[in-house]
Amino acid sequence: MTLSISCKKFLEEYSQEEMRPGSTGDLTSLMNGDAYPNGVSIETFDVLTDDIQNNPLVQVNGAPIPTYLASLQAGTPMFTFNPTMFDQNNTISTSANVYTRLYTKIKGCNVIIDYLDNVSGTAKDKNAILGQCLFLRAYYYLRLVTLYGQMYNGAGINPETALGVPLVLSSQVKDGGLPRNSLKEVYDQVEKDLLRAEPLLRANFTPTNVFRVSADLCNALLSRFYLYKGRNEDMDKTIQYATATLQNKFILTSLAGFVGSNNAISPNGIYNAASPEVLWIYSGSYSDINTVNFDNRSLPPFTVSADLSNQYDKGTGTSNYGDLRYQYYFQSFTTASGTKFPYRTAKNTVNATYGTKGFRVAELYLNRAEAYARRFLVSGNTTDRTAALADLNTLRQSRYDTRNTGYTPVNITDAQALYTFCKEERRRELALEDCHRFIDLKRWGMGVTHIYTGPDNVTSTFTLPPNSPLFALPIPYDVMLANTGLIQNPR
Amino acid sequence: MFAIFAFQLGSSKAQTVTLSKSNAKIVDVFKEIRKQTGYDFVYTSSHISETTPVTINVKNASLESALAACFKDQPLSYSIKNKTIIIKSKTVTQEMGPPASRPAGKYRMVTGRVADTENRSLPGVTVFSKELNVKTATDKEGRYKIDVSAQEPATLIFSFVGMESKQVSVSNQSVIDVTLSMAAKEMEEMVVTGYQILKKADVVGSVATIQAKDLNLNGINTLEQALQGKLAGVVVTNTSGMVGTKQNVRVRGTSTLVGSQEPIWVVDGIIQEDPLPFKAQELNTAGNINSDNFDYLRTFVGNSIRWLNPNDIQDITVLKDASATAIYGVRAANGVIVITTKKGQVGPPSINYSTNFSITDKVTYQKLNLMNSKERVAVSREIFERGLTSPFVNNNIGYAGALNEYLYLKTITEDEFNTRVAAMETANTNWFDILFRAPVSTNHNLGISGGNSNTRYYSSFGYNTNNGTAIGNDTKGITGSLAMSSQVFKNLSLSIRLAASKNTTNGFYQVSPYDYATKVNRAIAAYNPDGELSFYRNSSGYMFNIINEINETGNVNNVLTTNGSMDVNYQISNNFRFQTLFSYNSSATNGSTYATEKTEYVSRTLRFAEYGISPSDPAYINSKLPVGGEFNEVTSTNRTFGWRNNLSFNKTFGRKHTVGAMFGIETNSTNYEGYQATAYGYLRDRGKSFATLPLTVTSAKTVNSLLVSIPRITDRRVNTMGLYLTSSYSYASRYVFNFSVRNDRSNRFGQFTNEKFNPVWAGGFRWNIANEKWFESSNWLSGLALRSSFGYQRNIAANISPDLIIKLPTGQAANSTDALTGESLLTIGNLPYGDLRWEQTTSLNLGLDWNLFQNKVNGSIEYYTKRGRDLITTLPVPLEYGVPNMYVNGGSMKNEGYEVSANFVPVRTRNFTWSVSLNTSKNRNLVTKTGAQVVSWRTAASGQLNVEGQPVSAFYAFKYTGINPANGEPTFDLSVAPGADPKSPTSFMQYMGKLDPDFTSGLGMNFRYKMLSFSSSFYLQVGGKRFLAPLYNYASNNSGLPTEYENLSRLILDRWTPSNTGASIPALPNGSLPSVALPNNDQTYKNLYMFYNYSTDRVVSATSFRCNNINVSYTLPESVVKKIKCKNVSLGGGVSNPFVINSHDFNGVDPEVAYGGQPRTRTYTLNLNLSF
Repeated sequence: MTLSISCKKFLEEYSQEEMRPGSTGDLTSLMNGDAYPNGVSIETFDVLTDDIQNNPLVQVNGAPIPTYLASLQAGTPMFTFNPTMFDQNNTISTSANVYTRLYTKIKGCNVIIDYLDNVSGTAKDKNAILGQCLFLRAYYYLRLVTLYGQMYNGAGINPETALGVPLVLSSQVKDGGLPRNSLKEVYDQVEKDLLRAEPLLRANFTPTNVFRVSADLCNALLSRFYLYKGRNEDMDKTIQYATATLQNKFILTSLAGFVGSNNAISPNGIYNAASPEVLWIYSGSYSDINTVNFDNRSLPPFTVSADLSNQYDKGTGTSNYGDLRYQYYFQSFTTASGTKFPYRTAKNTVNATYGTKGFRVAELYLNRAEAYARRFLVSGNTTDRTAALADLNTLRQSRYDTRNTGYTPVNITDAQALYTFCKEERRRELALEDCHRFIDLKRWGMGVTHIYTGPDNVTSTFTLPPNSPLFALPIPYDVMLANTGLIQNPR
Repeated sequence: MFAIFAFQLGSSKAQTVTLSKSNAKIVDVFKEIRKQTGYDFVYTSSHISETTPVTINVKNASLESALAACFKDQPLSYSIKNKTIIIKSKTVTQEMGPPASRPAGKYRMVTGRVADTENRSLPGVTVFSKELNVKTATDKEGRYKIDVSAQEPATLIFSFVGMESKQVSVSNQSVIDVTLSMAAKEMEEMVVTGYQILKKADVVGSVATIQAKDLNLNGINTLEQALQGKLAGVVVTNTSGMVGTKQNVRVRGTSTLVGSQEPIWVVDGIIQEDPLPFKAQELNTAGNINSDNFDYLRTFVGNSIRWLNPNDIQDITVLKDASATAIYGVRAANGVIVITTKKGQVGPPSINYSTNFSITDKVTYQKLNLMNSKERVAVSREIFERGLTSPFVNNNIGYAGALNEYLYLKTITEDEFNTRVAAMETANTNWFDILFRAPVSTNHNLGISGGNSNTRYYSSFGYNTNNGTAIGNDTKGITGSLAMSSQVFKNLSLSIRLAASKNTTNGFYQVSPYDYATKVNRAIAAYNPDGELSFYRNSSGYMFNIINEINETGNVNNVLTTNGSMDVNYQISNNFRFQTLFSYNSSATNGSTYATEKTEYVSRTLRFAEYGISPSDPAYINSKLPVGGEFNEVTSTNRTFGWRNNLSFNKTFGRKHTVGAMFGIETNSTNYEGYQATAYGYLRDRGKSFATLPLTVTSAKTVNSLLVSIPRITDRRVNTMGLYLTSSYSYASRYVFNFSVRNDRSNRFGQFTNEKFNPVWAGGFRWNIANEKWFESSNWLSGLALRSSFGYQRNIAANISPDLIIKLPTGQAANSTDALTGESLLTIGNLPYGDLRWEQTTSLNLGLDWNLFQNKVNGSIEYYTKRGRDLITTLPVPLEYGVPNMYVNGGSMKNEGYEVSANFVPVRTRNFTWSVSLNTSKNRNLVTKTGAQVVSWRTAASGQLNVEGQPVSAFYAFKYTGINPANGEPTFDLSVAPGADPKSPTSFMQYMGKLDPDFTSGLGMNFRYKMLSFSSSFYLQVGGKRFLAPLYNYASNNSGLPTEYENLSRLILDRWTPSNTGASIPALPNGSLPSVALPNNDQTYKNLYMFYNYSTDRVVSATSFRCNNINVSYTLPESVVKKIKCKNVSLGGGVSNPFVINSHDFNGVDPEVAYGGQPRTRTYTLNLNLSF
């Protein structure tokens, strides 16, 4: 008897770190690890936009600064719109392989959704997990389909036939090819998951911190979703869902409050876990090419473009900085000669390891304003115009230096001008933030021109024309190799 | 197993015997004699186990003469007391005894010495004077004294166990020296399986044995190397010429695709575990092996038998087929190599000392056919003159650097430029002279053994130093062992073995001297004219000097191993025996690697600035590691205990039916505990202390990521419990049937809950044809046996489960707790693979053993086929599933082959012997079913594309159609073969063959002339093809245009240039070459020069004939030996790797390592062996 017990113990399954999931607690931990982004850095693709410029390499002691050279080489294929930027002849940083990274997270969501019925726990806990996983899956698919597919309402695009991305909705792995679903199928799935997640989260889950998702965030993402879907009939829903969140979460950070005594500007990020403006934060701050170790003998190869910094009202001096976003949204780079340049984003909180990705209330005002402006463009209904201006002014007022000077609201009557102003405001507010500019350029059918100086000191101009097929990013070569059913985007 | 067999029989009978038996067991003869005479026999079973079959034919003979005939050639003697015949082992006669009895008549005395073929004295040889019917035994110096009949011719018969008896007719000599030679009786050899000791005549499976004396242990680094070409079916491949690294060992090809393919090593019945836990190779998405800082260490920590002193080995047996390995269960799927260690010999203490010194050749440029600096500068000049470009050029060093300064920067004048170029052209830095040496290695080994009939002992002590040819690579080891076996009680025997060893290996970290010496431009200087190290700016942009890099990095490991085992045998009754074997092994590995702050590696990867920055430098504040280097440490202890109990039964019924069975239970527990960590800020030269890292970097105060360095603890425990049964039945030594079955249970996590009962079973049949009555032993054919076996095995690669397994994230990147929310994190360890089943392997083995020409030629022929079905393969799946691949029972594989091994003794005379041993094996490996896989020209060229009906490592090359005479670019035929699927790269590439050899063969040839012997061993490999190392190294930033850092093959001298349009080698690549579209729209590297590297022009045959070693040894004549008070003295010398003959396309480079690794060079050895 003792022998059989000790024998059983001797042969009891043992592993240092492995376990079989048994409870909702285990699945919650698994979700935190494998369904949430959890520290995974994801490329922002700012280097493809007009927010980034290239600076020639300066020779120091007869050679370029090594880290700058490496950074220049890493950023060149994307910056020069090389159609083979994600092929094997170029080094793809792991964070730029957003395709693989996001599908790895989708796997986490699918495994948990499939496994929920096999673990013990209350229905409330299970629904909370289900709601979070559905939201996350929808978030990832929306990112994938906007990066690797054409826009839903793009010129000459039929969503029923245009290529989206393959929809994987179960944890079952199979061999063989996996074809791309149509744009419509992917958008419909995102919509379905979000509409299902919202009530589940509302009833079962209240996050205790901004790193976990909530029902309000779900509505916020729905407003982004309909804005991206972009047909005129989607604008009502953009407004509806933005409003739904703004009813609960409407506070904007007043940047004027950041300015210290003696007009001091010290780093103070807008993405602060304690800030009421922040709906959700996940990891990562900069694009890889902006993480170079700097050397004040020369400008880094890729910095904030002059075009972007020219968008901001610089004010009149230290007593009125004008648009404070210019001061607070960019980390400056001071060269040995003392000249300051905006270098990369400063939206992250100093000394905090979390980054600048997620969702802010400011975007909801911009989403709603753009939707109103679009409606105004179509219908000419002035209530839409005033609603759009109200949202824009609310946002701008919190961003301007109002310590000594009152904010002057903007007032635009021309529908096209209002729509353009919405776009410009969106660029100013969401600059260098999680892919916004790239998708906005794509939505709005705008092009990009880059001036590039290579390591050989030859300067040339590269253009990404409006509505270029390259806006649907080439699928990385390793993905193409592994999936024989994929069709590459035209490039 | 000491049991008295006494037959008591009351009635008295006549004392004459009539007997006629051939090849009978001696026990049967005793029974018959007892029946006829009434005399009882007293003997022990151990006596009987040493006997050989008896052939006796006497009619009405006296008891004495009947017994004499019966004991002829037996290692036994007898005495008669009170109608009881007491059987004894022939004891070594210490003194020259008087002749046993002296019948009346005329006789005279003869003396002499008996020696073996190597002129070693043979003590204990029975000398029988036929006419007088007296016998004696030789003393410890092999001398004897016996009376012979005075009437000529008298006859003396010399016999000894394991030797061929010799009959000498004596005329009037008084001194007769005799040489006895080994009996080549293949059929009576014993085979050690680790669980049992079987008579070779009872073995149904496929085994091969080699005696330690047939292995050349001089000038080799590991035991595996010595086994190359020695055993049919065992393929040993060298991966590197450095010391302390492992070899690949494969028994009968590859049979699994995802699990470990290494055979298991067994020493005296105990399975050995590696000092570090098995780590499956991690592949990244591009299919390359991911290696971390710790893998540098792993390479230099040897395998599970590194602790064993090769001088302690008695013999090595490899178990190849399912029937031989079934008793080991699932673990033995890749074969079992069983090592038996030496046991003490009965007799007074015998001391043996052996030592050897060896010196190894340096690697030289002659072997590699690389350019000298003048030729290399000419290439750079051509690049400039023809205006060739590359996407990125680093104009810091070499000709391009000087040109840059002269033409563009204008910092030097034309004269200075010319002086610098002239200096480069004559630099000719010999990197091999600087980084390599001709090292001397030594080995000392002392062995003491002895004992009496109850207790025997063997102990040894060894010390060895092995220095690699690369300066900085060496190993040192000390081994000690003590083995004792004792007959404690009549029916209880005990043997104990203790061994300990310590090994230290020094290797390299982050640098490879061989790689550097073969690749770097010889125009670069190693030293400045003032004798200081000459640094240059490497492609990373930081200052580099290889000597500095080697001096400032280190990789050292210490492995301490202790083993103990106890083997108890208890003979319960005549038929039952109980054995228990307990073993405990423990090994502690302690390894560390480091790079100091002075290395380019630290500048490049951690500091991002040159060494010597001060806090006032802008780089200082931006650096994560402004002061200090990197230090990695791994400690690992392995504790293994095993306990095996078994009961065996042996009985012969009705004289002809022998039944044997063994049932046992085995428990094993292996425990690994380890810790590994990386620490930054290491200051080797400042008391091995550590500097404090800055908390934040850059003016934006980013948190220093190096502070978050997470150590890793390994805690692995593998418990297994197995039940096994093996049984055999033999009929009249003619037909032998065998069946074995084993089932294991383990504590492995994520087991297949529905498949816990998974026995491995195998059975076999052997027909000893030579023992058939109708078989007439003729002159040319004296032995013949046929074997066949069949086995079935199910197997699963560890760490794969059909269930969802989650785990705590480990490693640097992940953390088990969310840093932001404090919540715990888990990650997926194993996705649920619902319909995953165990792998199935069935195997069939057929063998024929034969002896020809009175045992002058003996050998065996084997054929085997092994079919693996439901093999678990990693199937690449679309990355959209979130995993790069999944496990499926997708593969089927067939291995079949034949093996021939033979020993010949073409000449055997008193003074001259010539013997030859030969083994050949051919393995054919065929993938019969594949799943979906990565289909690209790269997988096709690298042999990873499995094509049904082609062997596993089949590969393809681009069809090279010559050089475009207009621009020197290589041209290719990329047309799709008619009817082929253009999606497959096989449609436009050419099938070249396979990477693995078809046929391997080992040949050993030994000659002896008097005291001089000569031995040699050769290794032949036929078939197998390879791509040569690329001439132009294509990389993403250079398009194949040589950089100033690179040296090039001299073959490039005959490249296309505008003035040499009829060249054999394409022109230097020009960077603006566009990519070439392939018919299948492949998106991986598509440059013409990339294709050229993988074209038909670059394929060579890997067929080679290698001489592994040649040795000469000389045994000093006895007169000399006596003077220096030794028993035996021999001197020898040899050379390892004297020559290789292979395809001339290799240009002298060793094909085994022609693709980057360091070749083995010639080693000369001198050895001395003394015994007292």
